[in-house]
Amino acid sequence: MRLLITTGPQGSGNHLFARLLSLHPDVVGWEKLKENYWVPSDEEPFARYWVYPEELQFPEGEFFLANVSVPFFYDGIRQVPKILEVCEQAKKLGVEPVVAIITRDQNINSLQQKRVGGEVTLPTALNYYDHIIASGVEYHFIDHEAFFLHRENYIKYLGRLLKFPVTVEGINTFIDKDANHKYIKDIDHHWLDDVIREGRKPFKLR
Amino acid sequence: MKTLAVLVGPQGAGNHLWSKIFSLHEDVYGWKSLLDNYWEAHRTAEPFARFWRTPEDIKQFDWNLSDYFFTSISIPIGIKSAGTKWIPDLADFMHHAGRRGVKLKLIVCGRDQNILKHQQERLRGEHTLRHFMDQLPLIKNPTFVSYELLYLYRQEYLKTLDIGIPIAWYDPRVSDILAEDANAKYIKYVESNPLDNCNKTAKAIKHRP
Repeated sequence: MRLLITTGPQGSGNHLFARLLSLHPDVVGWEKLKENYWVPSDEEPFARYWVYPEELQFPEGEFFLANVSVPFFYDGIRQVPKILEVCEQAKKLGVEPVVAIITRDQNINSLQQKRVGGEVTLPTALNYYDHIIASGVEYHFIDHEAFFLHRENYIKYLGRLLKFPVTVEGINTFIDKDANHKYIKDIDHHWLDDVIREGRKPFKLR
Repeated sequence: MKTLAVLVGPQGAGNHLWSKIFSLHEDVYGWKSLLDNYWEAHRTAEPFARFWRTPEDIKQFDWNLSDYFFTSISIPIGIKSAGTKWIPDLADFMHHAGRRGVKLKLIVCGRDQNILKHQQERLRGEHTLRHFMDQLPLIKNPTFVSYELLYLYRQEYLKTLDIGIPIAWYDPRVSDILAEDANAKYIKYVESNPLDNCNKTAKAIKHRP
């Protein structure tokens, strides 16, 4: 049995990956998120265990998908989830944990956190992920931008990387726009442009 | 078995950046001259450049130079208005490289698709992503690497990558290479987003606001 814990800084794509990686029929995941665009994080099936890991129990199944941001809100209180403690508890119950750390462009992620929550919590997440990296728990990095660029190819790659059942059926549900789009502006010129253009001229024209 | 790691990606996705990173290890025969320059033209300096043009000539390459080899190329390469644009044939390159008895590892690099579009249109006068997407389905079991991940997790991210060749994540030049996040100049502040209210009210919603 395998427990995949997807976790990222606030606003990095936690809901997105929780939905995408819950889609395979063999996965016991965040069912409510399949039918709703957005669901509060403390209604995620494992939410209580991030605060009380000693209570961890698993329903019937072989593959489990859990998700939590760092930090996260539980019952109105912001806190750092006890992911490592959940991993330890899962091992005691005979379930192998693997952590997938979600990343989104750090510039966008910081702006989003500042706007929604009033402060940038990215350092809190990075600090906690240092502990996960050092802990010996299996972990991988997964990427918001790579999904929007490579779509089903990236999902298939995640299945191989995470050793977890995935499907590309339904991955575009609720997704009609790339969430990064609104943060991106065009720029007129960058100093490296001229260097590149010069380097790409035929030799006789340089 | 000798290994050739092949990195491909859309134009502007960080091909030069990754070429520097993956060429750092002393045992890797890669684009070493790029480590002494901020930027170089692929066709004049990348060690496998001529084999991308004429893949069957890769039989002339001396595979005794190392056990680990690295090459990269964007798809397409060059600039249409300058008359230098062409589309590398990845399948043909892989076919001929594979016949030399080396193990091939495919790596696909990516970057925010909105930034890619802006960068390609500004620098190359057209959105060239389609050329890469045409060849992406032909790439069997690639490893995907991310520009945004590299800039956020840096050495820790590099440690996790399995690309068949050694990666010098510990080299101090990694920090120099990653000194400037080129995405930052494209990012603007957004005053509000309809989804913000969901976070504040903590109520589930069925449809996109």
